[in-house]
Amino acid sequence: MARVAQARRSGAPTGQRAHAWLSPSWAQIGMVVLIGAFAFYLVYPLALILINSFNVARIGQPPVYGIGAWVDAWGTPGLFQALGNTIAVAFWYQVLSFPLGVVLAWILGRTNLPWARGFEFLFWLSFFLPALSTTLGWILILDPRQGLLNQVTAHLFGLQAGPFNIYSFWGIIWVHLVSHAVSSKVMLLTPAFRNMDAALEEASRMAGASTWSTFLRVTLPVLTPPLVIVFMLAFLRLFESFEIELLLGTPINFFVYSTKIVQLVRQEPPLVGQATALGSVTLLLLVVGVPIQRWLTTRRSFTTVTGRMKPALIDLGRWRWPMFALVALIVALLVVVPIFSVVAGSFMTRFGFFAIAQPWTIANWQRTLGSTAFLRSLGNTLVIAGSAAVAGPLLFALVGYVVVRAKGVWGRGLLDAILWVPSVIPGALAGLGLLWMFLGTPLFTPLYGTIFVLIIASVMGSVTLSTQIMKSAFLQLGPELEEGSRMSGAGWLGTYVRIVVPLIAPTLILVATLKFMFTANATSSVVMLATSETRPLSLLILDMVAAGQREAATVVTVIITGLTLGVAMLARSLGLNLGVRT
Amino acid sequence: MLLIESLTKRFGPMTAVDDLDLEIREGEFFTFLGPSGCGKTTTLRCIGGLEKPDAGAIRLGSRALVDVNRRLFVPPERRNMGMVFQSYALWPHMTVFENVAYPLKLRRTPRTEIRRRVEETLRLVGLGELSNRQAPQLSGGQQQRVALARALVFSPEVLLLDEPLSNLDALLRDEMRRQLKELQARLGVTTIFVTHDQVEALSVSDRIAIMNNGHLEQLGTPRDVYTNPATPFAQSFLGRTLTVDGRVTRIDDGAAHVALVGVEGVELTASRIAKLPRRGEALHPGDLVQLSIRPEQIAVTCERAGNPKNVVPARIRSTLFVGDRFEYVAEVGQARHVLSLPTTQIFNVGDEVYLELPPEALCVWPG
Repeated sequence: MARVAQARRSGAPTGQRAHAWLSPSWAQIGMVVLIGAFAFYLVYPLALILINSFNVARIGQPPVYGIGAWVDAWGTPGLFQALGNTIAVAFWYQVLSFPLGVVLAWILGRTNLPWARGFEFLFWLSFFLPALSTTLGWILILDPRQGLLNQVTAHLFGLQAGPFNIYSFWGIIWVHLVSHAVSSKVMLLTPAFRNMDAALEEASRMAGASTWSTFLRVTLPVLTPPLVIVFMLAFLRLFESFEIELLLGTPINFFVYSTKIVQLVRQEPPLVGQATALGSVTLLLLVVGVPIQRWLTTRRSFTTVTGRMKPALIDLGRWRWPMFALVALIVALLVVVPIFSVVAGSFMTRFGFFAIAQPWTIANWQRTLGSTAFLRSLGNTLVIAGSAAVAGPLLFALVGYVVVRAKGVWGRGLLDAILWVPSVIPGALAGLGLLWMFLGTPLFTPLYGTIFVLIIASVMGSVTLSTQIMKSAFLQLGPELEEGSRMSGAGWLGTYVRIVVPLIAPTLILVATLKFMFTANATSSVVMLATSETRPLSLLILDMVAAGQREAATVVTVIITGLTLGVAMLARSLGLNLGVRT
Repeated sequence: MLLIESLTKRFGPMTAVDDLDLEIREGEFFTFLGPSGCGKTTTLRCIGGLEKPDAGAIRLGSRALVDVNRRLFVPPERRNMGMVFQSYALWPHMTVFENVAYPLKLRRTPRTEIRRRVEETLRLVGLGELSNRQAPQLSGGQQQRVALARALVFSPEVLLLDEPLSNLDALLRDEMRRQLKELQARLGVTTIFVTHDQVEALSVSDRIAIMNNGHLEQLGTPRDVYTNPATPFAQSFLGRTLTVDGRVTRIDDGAAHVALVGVEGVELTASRIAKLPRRGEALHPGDLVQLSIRPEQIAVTCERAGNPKNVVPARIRSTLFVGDRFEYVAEVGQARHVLSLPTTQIFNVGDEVYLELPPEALCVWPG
């Protein structure tokens, strides 16, 4: 970066190209340095996974190449079963959530449903509700023995045990649905539905089609591009899933690939070789997704959006209030029930036991807030998330600026492509790659076990999203603003500091809040890198649940949920607007 | 015959259409003209069934389309009206043929019949050979024709046009306007046209309704509304006018004699006196008034003619050559006015000229 700035001062303006803001040779060197740095940072750890799946030596020892890990992996029962489970979960997740999400987005965006904006906000809130929170909340309701709903049904129908078991395949699917599966689709698709030119539907009505016929024949086909994008994005993101399967699948020996990798790495003795073999297979499956993902999120769709004053809404007629009740019920399941039960759980003597003499207590709060483990983890979370929130925006603003503005310099496209790689790499694989990088590269080995490793992993976490947000901010800026500054006599760096940074300051703060939020909730990317000294709050919750301390876990969950939603509200006030471009 | 009775439509605190009464005749080319926000599009959408009025009724022949008092509302798909939208609203996932065939498919027309009628309608709008293209590949003018074909293919009772020409460039707009008029005359379909462009309205319509703030300002034939504007708004909205202030000196034989304010010793005679806002009121000597005239009715000369009646001295302040004519800024007293003159009449900056304002072209408005 400093190099780029220096280069500008020594290089004379060439005037050969409209946007050549550096003399070509210096710009080229700067670009190569950037590409090298990001390739090392983002691609090298992943390459290590592939290479080391053929390394049979213990991690940290001199490499011995062979196919031992693959042979062992093939022979270990359940290893590739985990990959099959991942796909099974993904299948049911999409089959159930996609149609529901589409219809809900249509109702919110296109009809005169009462309080539609309010519901839209609650779906948005549900999207930012940590999966840990949703999972713990629903455990309190659907635990086979102590779950509230099971106790109530057993009591009502005189059953020995309640009919629901959250520790099951369908329990996992259910928690996915009420966690992010539906809310993410509603959040992304509602703006697409709302921004569609209402005249397309009105023309169909005038041509003689009913509301429902218009929905099927015109609305859905016209919105096919954003629908496909949201479908594919959700599919790729599903490999990210970790906490739900860890909390609900592990007790019944149901593993997906991410929980399996973590189990293999963390068990005694660790089977890193087999974990790496499983990671390699997943990585190869996912790398195909990089160009797909990039193509999906950058292409322009054919939907026309006109600047009408307001689209006419479809009258639901007598279905208006029944529909209101249905959407309210869904929102209650997604937002109200989990938050309510986690908060209630944190004040219970014994998690899920309502029938005992004194079910309610504040002892959990007193004990947890005073414990050194909690305070240490709180400090770690603040340091890690705070560092990511400061370093991320500064770094990605510069990279985004270069990708948008350095026209005529070789390597812009390559840098952009590298930035897309992490978008499909789930946290578990990124963590595994960094584990190899820090333990397998002698230069970095001393860093292992320090909080610095977690900061590195966290900054990497949402490179693609962050740079995309920065890029769109720069694209909207219009080069005239900078050209005006250059004409007034400011150099490249002066223009960047005096004009560009103040203009994109809200976007910088937005990226900072996003980084803070994602980092505070990260689990799979850091679980293999943290020690009991450096573990953040999110991992503390997982460890507490594993140790059977559910009450303490709910207390920490309430804290991290409050922190996340608070920051999300801040981001929203800064104009955080996630939606599919139409 | 389409009958609109005390139609009212509100959007929150704003009243878009306010107690509108109107009758549109069968086979007529009827135009709603007015500035944006005047309620013309809302009225059209109420006729089409895309908006539900808050009060009033709309009847087509003997059939009620909407009647708020009787809680009756026919949804748009059962009104049998064709509509062309400002954005054309062609469905991007269908070809030209599929777009036009859509209304027939919904009416369960046999396949061979669909093919015949779609091709016939596409030929009618001059798009015979493009039926397999996707809609977004077409130019603006072609998209406009497809939208028109789609609105006409099922022989609707009424054709609704919502500013269909506003997205076309000027040359194409003139051409489409002419074709639209010819097509309508040939098919004889009752056509309701919404526009903010006065030239469009004047050239195609049988009758024009000038709207402002949700009210009807004037209703009449194009010649009628242009030459005899009923309200100051109708006058200023339709065509250019030149307005000067004056004070009434006397009134005789239905003509007003007005002394100009700001120009010493000039008295003009105006034989047209606009309707006064309140019935029974009349102009009196001493009243402040405005005199208005269409610029094309002013004769400009270098020399004071023999008969000095209704002549105002002026001075040329600037000239602007705009191709087919000159635009001059002429100063009358302290006020400046723009005059358009043919290129055969050339003046220079600073020239003294005389504007002759024929009494029958001058209109008096209460000040």
